[in-house]
Amino acid sequence: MMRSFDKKESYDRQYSDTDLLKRFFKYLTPYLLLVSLIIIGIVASAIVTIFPPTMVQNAFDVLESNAEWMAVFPFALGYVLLSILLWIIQVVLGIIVTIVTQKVIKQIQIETYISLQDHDLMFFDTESTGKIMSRITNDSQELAEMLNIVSQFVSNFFILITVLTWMFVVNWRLTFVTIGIAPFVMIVALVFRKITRMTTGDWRAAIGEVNASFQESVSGISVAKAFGREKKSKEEFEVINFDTFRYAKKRAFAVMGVYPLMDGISVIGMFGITLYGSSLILGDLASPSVILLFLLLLNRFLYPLVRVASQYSTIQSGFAAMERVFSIIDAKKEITNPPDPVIKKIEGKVSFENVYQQYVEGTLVLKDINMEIQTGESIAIVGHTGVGKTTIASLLMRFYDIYKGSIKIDGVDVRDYDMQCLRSQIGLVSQDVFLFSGTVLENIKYGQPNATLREVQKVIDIVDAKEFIDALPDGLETELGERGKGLSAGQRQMISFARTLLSNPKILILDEATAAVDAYTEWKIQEALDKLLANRTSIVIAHRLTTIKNSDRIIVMDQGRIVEEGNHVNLMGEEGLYSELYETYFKHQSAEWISEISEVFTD
Amino acid sequence: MSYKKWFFKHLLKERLLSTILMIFLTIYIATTSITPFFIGDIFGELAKESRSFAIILRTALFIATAGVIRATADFIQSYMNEVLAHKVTKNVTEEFYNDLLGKSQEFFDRVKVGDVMARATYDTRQMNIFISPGLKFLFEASFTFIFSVSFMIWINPKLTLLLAAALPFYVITVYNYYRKLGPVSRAQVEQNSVMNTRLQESITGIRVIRNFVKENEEIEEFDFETEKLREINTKRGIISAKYYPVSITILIIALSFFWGANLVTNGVMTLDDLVTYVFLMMTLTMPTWQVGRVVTQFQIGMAAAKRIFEMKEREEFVPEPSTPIHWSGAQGLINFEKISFSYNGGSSRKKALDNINLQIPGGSTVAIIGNPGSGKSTLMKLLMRLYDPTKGTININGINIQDMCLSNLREHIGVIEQEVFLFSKTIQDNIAYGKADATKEEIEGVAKLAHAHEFISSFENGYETIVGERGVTLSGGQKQRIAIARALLVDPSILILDDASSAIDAETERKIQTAIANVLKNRTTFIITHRLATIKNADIIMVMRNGKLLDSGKHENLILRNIDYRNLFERFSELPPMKIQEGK
Ligand SMILES: Nc1ncnc2c1ncn2[C@@H]1O[C@H](COP(=O)(O)OP(=O)(O)OP(=O)(O)O)[C@@H](O)[C@H]1O
Ligand SMILES: Nc1ncnc2c1ncn2[C@@H]1O[C@H](COP(=O)(O)OP(=O)(O)OP(=O)(O)O)[C@@H](O)[C@H]1O
Ligand SMILES: [Mg+2]
Ligand SMILES: [Mg+2]
Repeated sequence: MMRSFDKKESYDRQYSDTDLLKRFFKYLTPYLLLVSLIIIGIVASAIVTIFPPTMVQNAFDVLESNAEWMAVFPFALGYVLLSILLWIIQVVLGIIVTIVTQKVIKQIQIETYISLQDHDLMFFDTESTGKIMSRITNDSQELAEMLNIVSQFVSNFFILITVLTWMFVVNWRLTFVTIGIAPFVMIVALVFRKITRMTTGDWRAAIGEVNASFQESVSGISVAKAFGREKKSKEEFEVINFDTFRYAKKRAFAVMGVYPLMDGISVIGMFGITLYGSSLILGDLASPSVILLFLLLLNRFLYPLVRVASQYSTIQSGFAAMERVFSIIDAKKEITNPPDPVIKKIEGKVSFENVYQQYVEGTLVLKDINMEIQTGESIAIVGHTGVGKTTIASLLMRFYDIYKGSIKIDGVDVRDYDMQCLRSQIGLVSQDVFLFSGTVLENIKYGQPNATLREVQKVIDIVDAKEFIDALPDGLETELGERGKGLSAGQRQMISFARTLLSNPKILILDEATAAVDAYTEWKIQEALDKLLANRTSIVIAHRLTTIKNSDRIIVMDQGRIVEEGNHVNLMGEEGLYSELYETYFKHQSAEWISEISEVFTD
Repeated sequence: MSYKKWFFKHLLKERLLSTILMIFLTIYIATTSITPFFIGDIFGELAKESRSFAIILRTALFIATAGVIRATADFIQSYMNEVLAHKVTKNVTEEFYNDLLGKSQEFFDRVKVGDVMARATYDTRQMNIFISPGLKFLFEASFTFIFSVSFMIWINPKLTLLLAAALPFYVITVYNYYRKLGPVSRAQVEQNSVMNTRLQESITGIRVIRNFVKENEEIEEFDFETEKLREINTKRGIISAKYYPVSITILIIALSFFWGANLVTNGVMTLDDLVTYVFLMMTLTMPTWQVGRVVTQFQIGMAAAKRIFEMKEREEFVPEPSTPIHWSGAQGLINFEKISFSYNGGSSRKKALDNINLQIPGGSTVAIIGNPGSGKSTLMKLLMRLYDPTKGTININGINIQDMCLSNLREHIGVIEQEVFLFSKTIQDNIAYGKADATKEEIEGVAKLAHAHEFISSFENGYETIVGERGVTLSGGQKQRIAIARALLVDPSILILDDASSAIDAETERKIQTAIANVLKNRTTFIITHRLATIKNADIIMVMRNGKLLDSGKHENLILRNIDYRNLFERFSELPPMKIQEGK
């Protein structure tokens, strides 16, 4: 049994052939001139094609009448000249098709990429990188093959028409016999069309699966090593890889079957023509050379006919790829710029009004959040893990749209802001550190490529990163690997922190920004930061409560709700969740706790 | 072994497929080449005064039969060829994957995921295309050539001389074409990989891009790379469009015909022989064209094979001992002896670890502290043999870990990495990652220990919830708790918690620790943490700084003699005066 996996992604959709074609031709409109050249070339070569056989036929006629052998010279020459003309047309055609094809591929890739940049984060939460990549790189290539195939298709179609016309002129009786094959060819084409489309879609989806699995194995290699899971991973991969092979085999049956089948049909045609032609000659209704011409032309008729029919099924292959690419471009986007976006300098007043949020239908993560943060105020959000702190930060950045309520900055709903304007004025040091490959300096300057070295130096000092950066092999110019490989986790966090500080945001959100740093370094960063935060709105999220003690206001969350609010002293007085959290945290630091816990440990 | 040899080894391994392929290919070509004879026969018959319809009918039947056989054989050989191609691709991909998994961490530190992916997908596809239809074309072309030319020689050897005269021109044309295509094909696969890498990184870093509003710059950069790829592709396309040695074939056809006409008028050759001859000539047009395609696909296929092979062959793996000593997992002394280590195969001028000496009695709880980059994680990675030390040895229970099988060593060590990596599978699969046959009870048991059961149950699909890539759909603390559960499930002898609770609040952390301590009694536990309480209660505290082990011991002693250690606690507690001068 074939392992069944969900081949369709949630955003996959079906398009009709006409929609796909229309859309595909839209990509061609910028190259109308070239495309018309292609069409002219195709028509020209279709017309020229029929002449070389005529030359051969005439030459044989001449030979048969036992003339001087030099009499065939004009025909031989004609044959050469015409063939060379045909050849030149085809070279030029090939070049133009290449140029257009490559431009179209690029256009499609870029367009897909641009659409990715606009997709909701929700999309990336659920879709795997490997599969998305598979569509942009592999499927778009396949799609561009379409142009090649379509132009061949058109060209063959033209050849078909001209040859047919010519055949009519030469002998209409024979031509009818020839046309008799066409319906059979068409039926085969239609049958295979469906099979090809389906099997190709499955196969490409399976490739996406292999990509995704490969990609995840490579990214998570250290976990596989740590758990000695290599063998199991290999087994799993083998299964997925084998599935691809099986889908490929299925597809091969369809793709490879169509041409021979039509070839077989055309043989029948050849049989008919030979017989019927001969009887005509026997009845003196045609000359022997006519049947020769017919057999020659037959090749030029059948070959394109069979091609046209089988290409029709190859085009289906392209359609399948097209569908996969367009599905990505068209995937629904919820978070878009409003029609009249507000673009303005932010002061820094933030308010949450009855905010509800859910990521998954029916599971509320935030419930009725109400808070006001004044310009320049520094607040802290605390609470157990998974309570929704990071979510608050993401919502403020409009990474996700809220389910109910409204979030306002300076009195304007975040959904009314121009997204770029909004995000560029809020700085978020996120809990998950992500650095790009490139130098340390490039990473720090990521948000502010024009920053001066002095400014960079300043933020480096604030996050206390100077010492380790200086110790790196090439200092600021040290190349980092993907995700910042080459630095320790704490070092990466400091770089990510510096990166946000450099963009000098009006609102600063620190989501566990110093969680991977030791207490002493953290304390030094804190000291340096205090000055910087002076007239900025800041939101600090931290589990180490020492980090937040100095905030103007502390917001305590529990199960998606705000349960307490106030400054440290007040909250301690309330003896609620905060004081409980604080006690545990500080009991941690106290001497009594050691003896208590060590009893457990030495039990 | 060269990459070409490697590639052909894979190809030749599929003997059965290749044999069937060859048989049907021969039938296909034979029947194709024989058809012109029958046509010639018919024409000859028609040219006669006394035409016989019976003979014509018979010959036509031959044509039809040959045609049907041809079509069938063609289908089988094409299908076999395609299957062969996919089979080889499958095997190559698998071999590549398996080899990669055996590579050292060092290797993965250096490679880029996008590049690996380009090799695994695009490059294997290019090899695939070279086999089908590339090889198919090659076989067809050569068989057709051999058959047609043999028949031609049989009909009229003299006339065939013309063909022989043209052959050198043809070979030169193909060779030039072959040479021109080489560099551009290599550039093509390289650039494809660059583009892939770019794409991969920008998808994984999408949050940062959003955060810093860098969409436009990213698009510009991607545009730059695709533009480069486009240029290379166009160049390649133009080179192949210009290749059309068909002109040579055309010339030969005309010349043969011309000369043949002479022979016919002189009575040396019959007219129907000439017809057959010219038809045979024409069957050569296709192979000439096909050879061009083959060359194109060969060049790119080989450029691709080279890339896969080169990465595959990079000899970067942690060596396994030839006569391994088995470690049962029993507790015992862990001895770090004069450990020094630098990254990048020891070439990095900075030492990540510098002469670490320490003995840890089995069953101890060891806290490792130190500023960022002081080498805490590195030391643990050496213990797991993700890297081997540049100098020094690590012994567990008196066995040098380099004398143990990697799997033996790692199965007894449980680790919660500093940066948790979860797979985009269900939570259950993630927890059971290290022990695939774990029962539901076991999984829930460890989830409870890690205080993860509660939040997992609150999800709509519970343990069947699929977490996004790397666990994006979970909060920081949730991820860490699943990682803790995952490590606990394998019931390790040595547990390493590398900052495993940085995203967990103190209350939950304490509960987890108490739970772990109860279950993993007397296991050696390494805890890297910045939470002071956890540090204090450890049996041994290692204080590290810039790769050196500054001091080790118990809290009570360290607080009195180590300035780095004091610094950590300074702000939180009243400390007794230092006993030793600062600067020690
Ligand atoms: N992208 C997402 N898709 C689905 N669910 C999510 C997503 N992000 C977070 N959640 C869920 O929302 C809840 C709150 O998560 P959030 O990250 O806001 O917690 P947190 O307070 O930051 O926790 P921590 O202290 O552990 O970082 C969690 O139950 C989490 O599983
Ligand atoms: N893959 C790597 N390649 C090169 N250098 C590295 C690599 N990983 C870490 N380093 C360097 O080795 C040193 C020690 O790093 P390590 O990760 O062991 O620090 P750490 O003590 O765990 O720090 P943190 O508290 O930040 O996690 C650092 O200076 C770091 O820059
Ligand atoms: Mg969080
Ligand atoms: Mg570390």
